Amino acid sequence: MQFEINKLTELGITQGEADRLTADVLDIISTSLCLGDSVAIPGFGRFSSEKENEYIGKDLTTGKTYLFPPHIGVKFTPSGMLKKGAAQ
Amino acid sequence: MNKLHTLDGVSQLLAARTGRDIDFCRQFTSALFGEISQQLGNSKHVSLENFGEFFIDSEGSVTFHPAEALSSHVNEPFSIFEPLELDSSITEAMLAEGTETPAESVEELPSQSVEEAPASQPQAAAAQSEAAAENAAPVVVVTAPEVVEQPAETPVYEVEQPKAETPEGNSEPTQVDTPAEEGVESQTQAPELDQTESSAVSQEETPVKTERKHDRVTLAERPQVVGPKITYDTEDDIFDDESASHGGWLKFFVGLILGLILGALGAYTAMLYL
Repeated sequence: MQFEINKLTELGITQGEADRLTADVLDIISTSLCLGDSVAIPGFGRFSSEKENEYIGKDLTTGKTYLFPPHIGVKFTPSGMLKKGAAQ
Repeated sequence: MNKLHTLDGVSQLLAARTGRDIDFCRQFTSALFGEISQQLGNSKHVSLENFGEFFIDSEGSVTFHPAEALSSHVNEPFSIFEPLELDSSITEAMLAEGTETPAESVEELPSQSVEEAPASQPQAAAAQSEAAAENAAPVVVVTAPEVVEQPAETPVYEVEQPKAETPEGNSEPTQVDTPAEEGVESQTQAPELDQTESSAVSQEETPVKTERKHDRVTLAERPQVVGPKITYDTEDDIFDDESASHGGWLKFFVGLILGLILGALGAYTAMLYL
């Protein structure tokens, strides 16, 4: 993980165990998103996957027009608490 | 599909995966995202490897950019599709028109062979299609009235039967009714079959048969009318007795008259020879 895990080690686990558990949590979330499920974390936000239909777009650099296929994207909706913390 | 996993659900999945206590997994998960939100508030940027990055933009809103690994993993069902480069001749106006572009391409083809016809040809084609639809629709409508006309024949058939019944009922009701009615049926059935055979539709024959059954039902109702026939029978018996008595009197008078005539003739001849 690229951010410092301070409080996680306070739970009585080592840094390596905290990294493995963090990877497991994120893997659980990504697996749920692949299955079309949503994951809501209280006080943080909600991860969900949504399908976008095909659309015609233009590459601004080359000026070419492309037909982009439908795809499933990841959507994150921050919670009110996170928004409030970010605004401060 | 479309399930919502909460903190408890994630904790249970984490406990099942790692073999740790659920309460510990719940505490760890909540502490993890609490740490992320705290560091996001401090540095306004948190990057999670193979997952994504959280940003706080200048407006203070939190955004999330998934990592390429997560995006490709989630988009795996549509990973076979790739962006398709369109023809350079396609302009933005044609894209804005959308479905009208194929119509224009169709119109261009006849314009090469026919002068100024593309505007009228689609209308003519549409008119032909509408005319074909109209021609097809009446066929369905025509068949329906044919079925409707069949029941119209039945009232005529039912009306004819009472006509055959009334004169016969005057003469001798009990003996003559049933054969006369059968004869009426055979007479009325034959023209109906001829009329239906002109259309040569076998399906029309079956309703006629059912109608006959229906008529037979109406005939079965006649015993209510025949009920008086029982009285007629008794009256007939009475009439028979009266007719027998009248016949007896007639025979008596005829015999008497004949006897008188013969006696007069015998007396006349006797007077001539004597």
